[in-house]
Amino acid sequence: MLTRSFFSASPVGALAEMDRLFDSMVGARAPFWVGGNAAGARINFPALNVYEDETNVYAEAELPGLKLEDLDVSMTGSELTIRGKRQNNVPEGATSLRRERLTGEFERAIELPLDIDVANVSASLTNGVLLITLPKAKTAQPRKIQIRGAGQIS
Amino acid sequence: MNTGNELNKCCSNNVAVRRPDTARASSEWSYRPNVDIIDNDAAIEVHADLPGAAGESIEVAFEQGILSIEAQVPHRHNESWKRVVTEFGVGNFHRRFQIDANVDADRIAADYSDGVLKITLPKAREAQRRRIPVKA
Repeated sequence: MLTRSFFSASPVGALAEMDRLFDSMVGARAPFWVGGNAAGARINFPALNVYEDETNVYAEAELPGLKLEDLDVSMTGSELTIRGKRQNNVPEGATSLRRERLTGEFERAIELPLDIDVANVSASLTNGVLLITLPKAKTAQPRKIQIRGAGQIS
Repeated sequence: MNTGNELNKCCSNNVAVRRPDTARASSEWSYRPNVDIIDNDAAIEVHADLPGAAGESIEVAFEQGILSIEAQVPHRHNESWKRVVTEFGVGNFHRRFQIDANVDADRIAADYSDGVLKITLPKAREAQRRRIPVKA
């Protein structure tokens, strides 16, 4: 489940408001795991860590064993979808002594609470870590407002 | 505090759980990698998920029947990034197994790609299952 500790630790009111938005983004859409695990439980897969700075949102997932062709990352409006498949690596005739690594198909969709510059979303896969960089649309970026002194108003 | 220190007997039934870490920097924390272990008669294969590990940092050792895996995961986040959602922890990996099979230690091989470490532990010849032809 979602860990809230960072949010509650935030001393800034404006930031906390942003956090609530992100919180609802994850809760709003039920992610699912098609393949299932040994216990048959549905879990959020892949788990996501989300970061942001002034210009981008970054979504990160651990997907060891996947290659680029096993993955499909797409954006529809402000909804980010990650789909993929991890192959079973137990060859025919071999005995499985321990199985902890999940295999099968998965799909997870999250609704981003802000406008994304969809044309410039990029993703990389390095040592099994997927990093999706989602540039904020200009309207979603903080803008510095020039304040004119009273003397400047004609 | 280190979740990777306990010794796992190969083939027993306990399942590793990665515990999310939200409070600490990645380098201070250690996780048990999820593994598949396969016996294909000629060898025992260990497939361990080590996402984000630096290939050159991975250490695999086999001594007196104990297989140990250690891997360092370098920082990959810019200091200016603010955490918004944390569903998994990032840290180094460490796990040990007791391998009961008779392994030919000189021929152990390991390979890391796409975040997965594959260790092949060939069985000593006398431990391999051999098919004996029956003359009729």
